[in-house]
Amino acid sequence: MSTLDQIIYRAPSGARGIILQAAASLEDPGSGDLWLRRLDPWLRAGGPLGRCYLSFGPQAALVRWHDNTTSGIAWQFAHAVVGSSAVLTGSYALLVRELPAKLPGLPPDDRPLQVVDTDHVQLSHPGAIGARSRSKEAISLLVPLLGHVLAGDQRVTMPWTEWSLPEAVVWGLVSIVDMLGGTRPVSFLTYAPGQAADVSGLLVSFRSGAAVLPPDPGFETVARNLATSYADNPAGLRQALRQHGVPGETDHARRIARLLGMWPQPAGGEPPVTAPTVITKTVTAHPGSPATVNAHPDEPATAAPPTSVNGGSRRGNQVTCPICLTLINDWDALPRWQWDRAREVYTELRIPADVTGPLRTNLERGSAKRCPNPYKFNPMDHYLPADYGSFGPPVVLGFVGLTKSGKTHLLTAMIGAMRAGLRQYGIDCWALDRSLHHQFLENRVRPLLNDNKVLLGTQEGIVTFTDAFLMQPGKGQPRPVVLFDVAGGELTGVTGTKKFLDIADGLFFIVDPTQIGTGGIGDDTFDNVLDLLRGANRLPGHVAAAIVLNKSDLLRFEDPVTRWLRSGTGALDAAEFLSESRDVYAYLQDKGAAPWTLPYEACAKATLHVASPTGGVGQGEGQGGVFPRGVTPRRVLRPLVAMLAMTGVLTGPEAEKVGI
Amino acid sequence: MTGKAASGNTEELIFRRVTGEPDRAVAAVDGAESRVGDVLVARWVWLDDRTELRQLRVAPGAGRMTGYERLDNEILAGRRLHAVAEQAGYPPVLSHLYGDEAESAGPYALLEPYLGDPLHAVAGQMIPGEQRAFEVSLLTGLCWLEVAGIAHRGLSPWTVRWDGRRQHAQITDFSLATVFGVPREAIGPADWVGPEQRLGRKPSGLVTKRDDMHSAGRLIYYVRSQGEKLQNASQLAGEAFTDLHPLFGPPEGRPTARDLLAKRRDAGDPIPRGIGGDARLNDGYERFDLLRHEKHPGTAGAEDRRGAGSPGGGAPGGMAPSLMTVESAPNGPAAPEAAVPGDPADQDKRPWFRRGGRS
Repeated sequence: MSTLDQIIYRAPSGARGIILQAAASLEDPGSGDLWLRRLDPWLRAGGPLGRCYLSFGPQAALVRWHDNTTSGIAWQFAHAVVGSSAVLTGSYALLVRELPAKLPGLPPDDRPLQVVDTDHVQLSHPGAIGARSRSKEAISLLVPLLGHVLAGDQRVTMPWTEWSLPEAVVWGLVSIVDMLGGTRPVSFLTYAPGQAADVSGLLVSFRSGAAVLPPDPGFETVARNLATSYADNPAGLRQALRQHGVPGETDHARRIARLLGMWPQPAGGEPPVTAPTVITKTVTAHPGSPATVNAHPDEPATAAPPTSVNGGSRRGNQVTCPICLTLINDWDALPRWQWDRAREVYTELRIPADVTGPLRTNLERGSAKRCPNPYKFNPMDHYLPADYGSFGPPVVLGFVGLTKSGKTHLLTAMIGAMRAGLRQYGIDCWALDRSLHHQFLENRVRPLLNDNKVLLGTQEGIVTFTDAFLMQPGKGQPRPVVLFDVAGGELTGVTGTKKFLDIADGLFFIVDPTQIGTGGIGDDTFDNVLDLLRGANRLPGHVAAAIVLNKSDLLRFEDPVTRWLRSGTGALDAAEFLSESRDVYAYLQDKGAAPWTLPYEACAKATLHVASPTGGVGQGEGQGGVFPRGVTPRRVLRPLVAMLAMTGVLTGPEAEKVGI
Repeated sequence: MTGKAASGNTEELIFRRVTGEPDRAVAAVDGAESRVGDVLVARWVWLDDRTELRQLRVAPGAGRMTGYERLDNEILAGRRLHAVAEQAGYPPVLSHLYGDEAESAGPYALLEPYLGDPLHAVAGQMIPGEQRAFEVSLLTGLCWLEVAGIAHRGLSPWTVRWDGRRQHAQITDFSLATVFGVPREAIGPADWVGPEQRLGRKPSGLVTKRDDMHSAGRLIYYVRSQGEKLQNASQLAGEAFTDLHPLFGPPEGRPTARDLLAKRRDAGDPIPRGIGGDARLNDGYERFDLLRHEKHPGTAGAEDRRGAGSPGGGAPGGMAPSLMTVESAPNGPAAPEAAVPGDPADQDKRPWFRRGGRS
């Protein structure tokens, strides 16, 4: 007999309310706190139309939600089963039946729940879900899902279309992964109205309205063959895979090589790229950062950016280097370079011309291109991610504000919220340079958001961008977006490291509320930057401005700041951006802070925002400083979303009205 | 509770008076703390000038982050109510914030002692004259909330009191309060708040001055019926309750507290003339509109905006109203009320939810 524990949670009152444990069978009360901490974000992310299985290494959890209304979205109680992942497997979690429509009540005593004897749990028949997993509609989802999984993606979001289909698709995936001999933990959330949290290993989630991103063509071929063979004859597929030695291989790459041997690419080499959202893999080795971000030896490291709309490196693109402003006429003709960790130098990457498909993708992963830098105005060789110039003109954004105005904390909170938060606006984003992004997450985002640490200000003398992304609104054109954070001290002078300003498409002007009312002189950095832009004939039309009343938590009892801070994340609604802009402008004028509103006058497209990157005041500065109340960013993505609309990354009639 | 702390402990309190001035006092503190909801605790403190106050703090533990928000709500409401009401003399129908320390790791609010008793303890004994006085004073309190732009969101017999000596109600505990114009949430005691605030349906629309009126209707029913809770619409069938019917419809159709008071001959507008209305930002709005019009001639200019009243009072030229003044927000028909699972007869044979020790 095997046993599992069970826990019942009560829904929070409101989005930020607390979830309470209503009852549990746990012997150790402390473990209830542990499970609540682990499961809290997942309880908020899922809903009654689905189930969630989470593999936490030796332990696992199955969560189902109960809704006694007809909405299918809200929930009143959630039921979690937790225990050893050897007992509570993904397949087992899929076979456990739905919660009854009407739940039994909780007796008014404090006796614990009974542990679950797995022998007495009623399970669905595996044949039923197996048959559905081989149905036409399940296979049509299983192919792209498998493609991404084979490509090493760790987070795959699939469209939710109908009740119980996601479970069938996951059943198919788990079955095939088992046949392949995969050891990577698989977690899943079969209906995700909220944002999924993080868990190690593979996470597959299903979201209503999510787009199906086609996988890399090489992986798609294998995925299609695996899925159709599974649909036709699962036992035959298992046997074929064994015969080809796939499950016997010890790592993912070798298994992929064997699968490619079973189903080689179609004659004629790499299939044509027909859509702008084909997934490939990128890990950019970067000086000073680990060359790999693998969390598990069996899995590739990265999220998956789209490949070029033009087929990547096969067409010339003209871009300007954001570091030295050299105009590069044929980006695609530049050779690729890779970071040699041992020697700590870039070396040219030479790949034989006849190497194509997944192998070429694999070899090109993480490569960079060297700016030709013909005039050596910037004496240092400098490198950009290989995809930087492959998606049309990059959008260059920068942060302007005094030292200690909170630029770094805002940028950090923004990047921390970006991946999940932008999806609410229908925007997918991928790190353009995974290694740089990983470095930023490790050095900035995690210390701030996870450890509540006060960050050090931006170092002077940094001549490259802080992070860069490919951003894709809906099924639209992906665009590279690069973010510069220059030390406040350097923005007060006329020289230095701010060459990017000459090609900047948008600037975030950061207002420090602690500086308001100290004489009304304004901010030198604003004046200097606006002068520079004016001198370069870039105003009013070439640069968009988002003025951010930063550290707004300090003003949280003042109107209209309090209303906006409490107004959630909003939508892409030009009228709402205008309303907030008007309120913040009037507030700054009322506080004698008119000089801080100058960018609104100077830039044709401009918005004003409130934002609180930390939610509270830090104790101590720099190393050792902490935010004692924890860090709860608010409205940090709104300025970015407005900026993406004003700079043309977001398109459409609503986006065009933002900032006007 | 009155009297000094038995333990004789003292602490130095450095706080902001509700009037805005910084203050510092050595206070005797009561070692005993009482729980206030899930995430706050309260204790008595006595300042060195013998002022007796209730100190509201965040309870330690997992709900700490929510506790900070709840305490912020109390401080927000207290500061705003004081700001609008101090000119006219602070109304006793609202609990009064004395001061707060809002920014440190251990924030707190200092509240003047509440008046009277919780309604649940006295509603059964209130005579008709007191019932009328309760209604008028409750609605008066809600008028002040309206002027301050505050929704209480947690009115119930536990947060509303009756001071029999002074013959008026007192609205207390603003820990769930928020400002008008922010998105609605599922929040507050399910038996007392409007359906738009209850769990089990997706919150929609923005908080308005009419949101609290559902709870006010329930409280008035509770007092008129001497402690009986309103469970279903049939209880409102009697003639004595006809005037309450509009309070239980969708929020946008509910009368405001002022509307209800206006119908009572014995109660005029409790808010003195000149109170409320904030013109501080009007110059800034006008300048913004002017600049915007100059930059983009197709948009509404300042001239177009004049006459639109306070920001958001109108929407000429496509101008969006400011959030605060959104009067009624989109709101679907009331959904069936959520019920808590509770029928043991439905207990399944599976071990899910079955009670008992570990097997």
